[in-house]
Amino acid sequence: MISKKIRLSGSVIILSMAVFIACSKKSGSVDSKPTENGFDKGAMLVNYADNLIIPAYTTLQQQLGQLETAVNTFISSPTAANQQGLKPIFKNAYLQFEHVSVDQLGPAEKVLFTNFFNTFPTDNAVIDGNISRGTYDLTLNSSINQQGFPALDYVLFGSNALQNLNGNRAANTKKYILDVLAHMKALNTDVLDKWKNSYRAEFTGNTKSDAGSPIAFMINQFAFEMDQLKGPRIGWPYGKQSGGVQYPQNTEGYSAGISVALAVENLTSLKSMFNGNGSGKGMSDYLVALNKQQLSTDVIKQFDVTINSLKTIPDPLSTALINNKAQIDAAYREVQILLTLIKTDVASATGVRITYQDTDGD
Amino acid sequence: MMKNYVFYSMFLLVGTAMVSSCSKDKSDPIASYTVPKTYDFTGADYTTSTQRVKMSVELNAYIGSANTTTITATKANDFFNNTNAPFSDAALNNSGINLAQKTSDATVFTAYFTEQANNSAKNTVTATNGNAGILVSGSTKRLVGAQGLEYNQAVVKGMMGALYFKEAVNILNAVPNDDNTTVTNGATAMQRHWDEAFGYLAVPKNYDTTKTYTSADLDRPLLWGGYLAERGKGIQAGGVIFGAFLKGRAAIGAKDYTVVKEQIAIIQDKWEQLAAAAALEYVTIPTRSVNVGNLATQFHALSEAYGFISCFKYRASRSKLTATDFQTLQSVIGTNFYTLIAETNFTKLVQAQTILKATYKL
Repeated sequence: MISKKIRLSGSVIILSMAVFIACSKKSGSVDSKPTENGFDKGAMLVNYADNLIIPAYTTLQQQLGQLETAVNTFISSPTAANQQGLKPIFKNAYLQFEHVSVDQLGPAEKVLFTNFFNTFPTDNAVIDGNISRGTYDLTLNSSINQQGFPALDYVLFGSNALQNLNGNRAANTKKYILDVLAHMKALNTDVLDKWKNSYRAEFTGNTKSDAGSPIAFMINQFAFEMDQLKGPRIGWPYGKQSGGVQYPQNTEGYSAGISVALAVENLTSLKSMFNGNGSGKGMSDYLVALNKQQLSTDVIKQFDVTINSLKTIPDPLSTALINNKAQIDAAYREVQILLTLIKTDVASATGVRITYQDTDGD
Repeated sequence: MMKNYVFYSMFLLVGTAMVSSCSKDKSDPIASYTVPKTYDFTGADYTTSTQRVKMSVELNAYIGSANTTTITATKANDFFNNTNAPFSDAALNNSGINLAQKTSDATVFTAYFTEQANNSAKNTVTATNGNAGILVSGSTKRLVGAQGLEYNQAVVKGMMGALYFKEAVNILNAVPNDDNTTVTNGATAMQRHWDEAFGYLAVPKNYDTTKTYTSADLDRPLLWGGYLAERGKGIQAGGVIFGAFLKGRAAIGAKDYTVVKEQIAIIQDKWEQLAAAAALEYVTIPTRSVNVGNLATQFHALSEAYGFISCFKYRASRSKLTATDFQTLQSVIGTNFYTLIAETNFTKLVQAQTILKATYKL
C-alpha cells in the first residue's frame, strides 16, 4: 500500500510536470521559434533597430538642432521674410518626425513620445493662456495638446504669429517657443539614449509575437498609424466622422500648410518599416517566410497605390478639403483598403492580436 | 492559447484523481473518488447565490442607464433591498432574499446610488474637473462624478468585492468546521456552503474555459464568472478556480479534508489574483499612449480599478497584500482622476502597477 502511494505520487508529479511544461509553451503558434522557414526574425529586428529606428531618432535629433538654430534666428528678428525662411527647416524636422511616429513602443511608449510631439489639434486657447501667464508645466500629461510640432506650427506660423512675436507678448511667446523645443529635444534624447543603451538588446532579443513583444508592437503600430491616417490626418478634418462638417483647422501642420506632405511622408516611412527598407529583412519578408507571398506583394502594391493617390491632393489640405474632394475620396478609399490589409490580414498572418483598441464591453 | 486550457484542465483532472487516492488520512481511510468535469453533484444547490447574482445584474443595468436617463436612489435601493418588486424576474421579487443583507459596507453603496442619481441629472452636460457630467468616446457615453469616477462602476465592481468575493472567502474559511455528517435536503451543511460559495463565482455548471460565451447564451458566466475570461486568461483563472471548486466538492463527499483545505487556498488565492489582474489592467490602460487624452476611456478604466481595488478589503487572511500596500493602492485610486491622468510620468498609477505586479506575480 505504501509503495503504491509513493509510486502514485511519483507519477502525479511527473504527469503534472509534463503537462506543466506543455502549458508553458505556445503550442503550435508562429511565435515559438526565432527562425521561420529559414527566416531569421532576430536579424529582422536588428535591421529595424540599427537601420531604421535608431537612425530615425538620430536624424530627428539633428533636425531639431537645426530647427532650434533657425528658430533663434527668426525670433531674434521676427519678420515675414525670416518666417518664410524658417518654414522649410520646420517642415523638414516635422517630416522627419513622421519617421519615428510609428516607433511608439519601448522607451517612446514609456514617455508618451508621440503624444507630446504630435497631438493635434492643439488647444490654442490654453497655449495663449500659457504664454500670457508665463507659467506652465510641459511635463504634465494633460499638456500634450499645448506643445510639440502642432504647438510650434501655431505659435510660429499661425495668423497672429508675427504680431505676437513683435508686440508686448513677444518675450513670453519667445520663451514658450524655446521651452517647447527644449522639451522635444529632451524627450528625443531620452528615447534615443534608451534605444542605444539598453532597449536595443531587449528589442532584438525578443522574437516572439505575443502581446507586448516587439513584433506585436510593430504590427499594432502599423495598424494604428493607418487608423490615424484614416481618422485625424485625413478623414476627420474632411468630415467623415461629422456628417460632412469639415474641420480644416484640425489638420496636421495646419498653419504651415503642410498636411498632405506630412501624410505622404508618414505613409512612405510606414512602407519602409513594412518592407524593412527593402533589405530582405522586413515584415514583408517575414510574411513570405510564413507562406504569405501574395499578401506581402498585395500590401506593398497597396502602399504604392495609396501613396500615389495621396500625392494627387495639393497642399494646403485645409483648402483641398473643399476644392479637391474627388482626390480626397479616392485617397481615402485606398487608405481604407490598406488599413484592412494590415489590421486584419497581416495581423492574422503573423499571429498578432491588435490590442490598442481595448473595447471594454461594460 | 485554447490548447493550453485544454491541457490545463486535463492536468487538473488527471492530478485530481490521483491526488485524492493517495491523500494522507489520520482517521478513516478515504475511499477513492473521482472529480467530475461539471458541477453536477448530487444534492448540489446554490439557488440563493445565483439569485443574488441576477439581482446585481438588474441593479447594474438600472444604475448604468443613468448616462441616458434620469434615475432615482429610491429605485436603486429597491433593487438593493428587494422592496416594491423591482425585478423583471418575478422569482427574484419572491425569493425572500436581497443584496443588502450580504453586502459589507452597505452604506457606502447606498451613498453611491445617491451620487449616481444626482449625476444622472447632469447627463446632458460635459463633465469637467469638479463637475459631474458626460464624457464621450466614439459612441460610448460615460457618466462621471466631479472627480471623474463612474459611480455605476464603483457599485458593480465594488459589490463584486463586498458581496460575492467576500462571501466566498468567508464561507470557504468556515467550511472546514462545518458539519459534514447530517444530510438535509440531499446535502450536508459543508456541501451546502461549498455550493453557495461556488454560486458566487457565477459560471454555468458545465463551464468551459475554451468557449467564448455571448449574450446569446442564456446560461453564461456573469460578474466574476465573466471576468475569468475578460481579465483572467493570462493567469488561467477560469480553469484553476472552477477546477478547485469541483475537486473540493468531490473531496467533501469523500471526507478528504486535506484536499478540501488545499482547494480553499487555491480558490482564495486565484480569485484575489484575478481581482489584482483586473485592477492592474485598469490602472495601466489610462497610461497607454493610445488612450492618453481620451478621458472617457481613461476614467472608465480608473473607475473599474476603483472597484476592483476595493475588493482587496475583503481578502483572505492568507493574502500576500500587506496592509500598507493596500492603503497605498486605495490612496492612489482615491485621488481625483483628473490629477491621476495629468501627473508627469503617471507617478501614482505606476506606483499602483508596481505593487500589483510584485504582490501578485503579474
